[in-house]
Amino acid sequence: MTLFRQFIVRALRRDPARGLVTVAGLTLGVAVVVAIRLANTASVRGFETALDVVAGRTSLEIVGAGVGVPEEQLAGMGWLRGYGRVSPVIDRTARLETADGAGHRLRVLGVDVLRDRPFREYRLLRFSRQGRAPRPRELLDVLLDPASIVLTERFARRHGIDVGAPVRLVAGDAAHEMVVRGLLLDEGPARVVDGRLALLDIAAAQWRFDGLGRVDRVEIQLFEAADIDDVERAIAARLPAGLRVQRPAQRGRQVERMLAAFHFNLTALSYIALIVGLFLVYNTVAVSVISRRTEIGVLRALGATRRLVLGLFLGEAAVLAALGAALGAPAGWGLARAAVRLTSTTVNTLWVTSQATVPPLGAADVALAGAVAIPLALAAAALPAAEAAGVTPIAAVRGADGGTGRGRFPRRAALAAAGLFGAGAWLSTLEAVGGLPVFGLGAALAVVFGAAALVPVLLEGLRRRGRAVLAGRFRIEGLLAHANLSAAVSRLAVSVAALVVSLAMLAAIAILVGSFRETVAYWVGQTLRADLFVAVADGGPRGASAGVSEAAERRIASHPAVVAVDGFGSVDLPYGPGGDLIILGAGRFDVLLEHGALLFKAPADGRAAMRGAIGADAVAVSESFAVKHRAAVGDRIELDTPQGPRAFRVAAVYFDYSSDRGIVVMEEKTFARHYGPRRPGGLTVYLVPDADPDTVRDELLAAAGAGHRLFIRTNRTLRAEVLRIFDATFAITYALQAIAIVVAILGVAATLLTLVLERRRELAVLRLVGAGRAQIRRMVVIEAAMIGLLSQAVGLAVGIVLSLILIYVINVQSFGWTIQFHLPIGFLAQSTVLIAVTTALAGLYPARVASQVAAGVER
Amino acid sequence: MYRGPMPALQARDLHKRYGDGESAVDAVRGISLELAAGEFVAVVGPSGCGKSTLLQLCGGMDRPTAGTVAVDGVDLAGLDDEALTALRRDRVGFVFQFFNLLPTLTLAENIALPLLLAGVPRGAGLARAEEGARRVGLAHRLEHYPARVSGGELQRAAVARALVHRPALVIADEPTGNLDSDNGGRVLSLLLELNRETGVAVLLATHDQALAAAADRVLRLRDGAEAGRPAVGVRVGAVTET
Repeated sequence: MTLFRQFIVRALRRDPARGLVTVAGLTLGVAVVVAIRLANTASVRGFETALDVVAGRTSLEIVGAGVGVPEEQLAGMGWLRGYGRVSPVIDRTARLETADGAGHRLRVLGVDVLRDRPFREYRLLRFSRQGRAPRPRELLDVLLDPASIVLTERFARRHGIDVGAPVRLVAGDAAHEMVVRGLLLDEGPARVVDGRLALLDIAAAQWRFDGLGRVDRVEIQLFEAADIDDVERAIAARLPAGLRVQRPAQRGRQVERMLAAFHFNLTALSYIALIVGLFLVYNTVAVSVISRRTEIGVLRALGATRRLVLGLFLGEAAVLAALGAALGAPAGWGLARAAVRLTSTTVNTLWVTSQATVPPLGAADVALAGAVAIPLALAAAALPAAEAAGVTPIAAVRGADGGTGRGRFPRRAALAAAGLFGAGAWLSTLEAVGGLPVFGLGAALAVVFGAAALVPVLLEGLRRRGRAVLAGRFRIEGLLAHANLSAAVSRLAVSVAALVVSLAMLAAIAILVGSFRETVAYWVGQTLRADLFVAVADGGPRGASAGVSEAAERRIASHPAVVAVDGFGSVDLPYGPGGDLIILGAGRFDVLLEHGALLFKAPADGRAAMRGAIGADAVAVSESFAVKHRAAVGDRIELDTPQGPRAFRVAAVYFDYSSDRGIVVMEEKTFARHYGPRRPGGLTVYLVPDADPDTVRDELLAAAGAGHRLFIRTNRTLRAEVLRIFDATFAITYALQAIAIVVAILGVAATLLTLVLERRRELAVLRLVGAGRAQIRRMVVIEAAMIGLLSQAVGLAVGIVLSLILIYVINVQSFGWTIQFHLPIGFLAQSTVLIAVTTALAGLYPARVASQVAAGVER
Repeated sequence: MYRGPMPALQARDLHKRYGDGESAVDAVRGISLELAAGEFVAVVGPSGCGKSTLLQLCGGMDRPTAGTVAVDGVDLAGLDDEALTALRRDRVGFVFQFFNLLPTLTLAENIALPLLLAGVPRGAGLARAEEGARRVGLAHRLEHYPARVSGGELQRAAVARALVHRPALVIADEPTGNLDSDNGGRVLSLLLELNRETGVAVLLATHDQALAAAADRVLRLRDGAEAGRPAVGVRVGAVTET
């Protein structure tokens, strides 16, 4: 231990720059891993907390097929009370407008107060001031008036609302005047969803949300919770067709599965930054070993065992990794908060509506950071540490001259690269595992490591071919830079490989995102044909609390400029043995066929197929549904309906990029026949050719009246919105990559510093025979820029291969989308220049150190 | 005292002190020395007597604590780092015990280095290096890297490098110290021949009495001062000690 302090800790203190660069790199790497983990947990947890809170003490729940539980069926289910207390619930997301006109999205629960009391605690501010809970009668009084609403103390305080204040609840396109009749204490449920919770009486909620005769689910609190499995089976056996019983947590699991692919891919990305950080550890320990060969020799001569020497240097790596983990965990927490702000937009837009909050950093997270970073750092340090342990006392004390300026062709590396590329090609042909692109990522990883193995081969190529070019272009500094790089091929290979890996990932992601964006833009251009898009104001793009009212639709349809109106409504429906939540949509096929457009994947004449689906039990499915659930045209798929499972023929498969969950669309009348009538959540409006969409939009909004809230987007703004959401979705991937590149460039700087320190003696000779400081600086900066350019060249080539895997394997396995390959040449050219400049800049510090070596000879 | 047109080296009352306070070491104490163009001077004395330090001061590798050095008529005290570098590059050549060639450059590139650093085009620089290499008998080794040639060849390459830019002064610190007697003798005769052919002044430090005997003049050092002369007081700032 004393020896460790004297030999390693003091040395690190003497040369803090080296240690700091490594710790900084590791910190960033660990931070990214922790951040993505926390952010992923946050987005699922956000939903789960909301779920837990709302579920209260519910043990089981009964749900219908997409459209809730009909009350008439409920009437015949009195037997449920033999198992426990039963409470029907309406559970929606709606918009609440305060007096100042500001709108807020809230979770709105409609409950039967008297039946629901055992399920959830309702602690109202008013009564708690009196030191008691509300009596049933009092609670009933609070909610009985259909205009009553209960908010949370936290929400009310934040927006300056008091009991008795008027608010407007927007449900569908109607805004209802309500009065705040009570405030829930800032504890339990109210607190975890950040106060965004409102209570209504169930009847009022059914009425407001256009759901008379139906409840969203029925919750059951068992008398004997221990028998839950038996009871679940018993209830399932007695339930009428179209209903199913499940645990509340099931919904959380569905959401988790829905997000699994997205999270899996983010996690895989985050590890790249860490891997790049590990290259730094290798570097640092390698420098340590090289610059101290003589000292190691002395230690060995004085009786230090190989094992002790090995331990010293592994210890150095462990200390650095521990520091990186300790700093990286809190940094990751900070990053996660930023990431959640970015991804929650994505997750909310694409998947679920939930309030994502990053859980506080726990000891477990710090421990995990250490558990990931330390073993990996030890693995990274193993090679140089073993080199140190191999130092013989004599060789070290003699100070044997290193550097021959010659290298053999790295045949083993070339073979390894070929093998890894082959493995990548093979892995990319394997199927997904449980919806996750495990082998696809394996293929990507094989290509990445193949690229890393290729680096020494390419460096050797540069060594053999580059001298004349460099010496010709940059004269003596170029010659020296080439000579230095050539002599350090094996030492450089590691950090260049790290840079190549992160640059390849950047190029691949740029190509993927660029291709995806082009594809989506094309798709939007082809399929968004309507002039106006009408949505209700309260919900997100899906899951509006109620649809567009018939009155509103009539008003729109009667506008003289309107030619046709299509309605699209959707419900979430569990599908298949896994119960994956798919989107079941209903639309007006005749309007779509006459005015709109879909891009069909199959059959060739998709329009005829759609026409044939009208009036039949037939559906069109999105590409991602077809890929994930292996459905082809002509197949019959089984969907849950309120009457039990029904088979539907797949008439067509169409391209869609709005959701990776899989969409099944049926004609509106087919939907109504099986699921009952339902107002569409949005309308698409086609105008006469010479109408000005903005004018019509303004006129429609003006005609809607004060009590109505509609969002109407023109074709142009919706297209822009689609691309805006798209860009926000991928912002985080760029952020991750930027971090990986920063770490990699730090690595290059650290390597150059290593080389400079190794070459002190040669630098002194150079200075002696007349090299000016500026010449030395130029030499090192040229080395840095060469490393940058070479890495970028390899990175681009490998990036293109990786992007093919991302687009044609990983994307298809995760999301089931067809993406047209497109090379974003402008971006790639810019990044190439940027990388060359940045790496050259990264060379400035080592260049300064090098230029300060005094002229002379060391003996 | 000899008064030439322009001495290759003129050192007056050189002092070099390392460290300060009680741990201060006076490596050179009041040495004065002048080399005329073409003169060959050997510095001899036991290990630690200050030979290398004296050579470093005279070659512009280090600055004296007190005293002045002028190389080829240029006073080094007035030069900043860049100018000193340029002076070394243009007017001084160096040969050392441990060869000190760059392992990453070929022998030709190593020999041409002072020229290339001075901005001479690569082709011209390498041509002159080839010429120099031929003179020292290394024409067949031009494309070899230092690790692939013998110690004697390395030192001959170092001699060629020291002379390729036609300096006024060559500083040679124990140039044969790491060679066997055959190779050592060969390097010494090369130095003497080139000294005569080119008229370059040579300041050579050695342990070897035989080697010293070949010189025009011998300077004997002991404890940082010229042997047989009383050490002169060291002036460091305002402090004077004896």
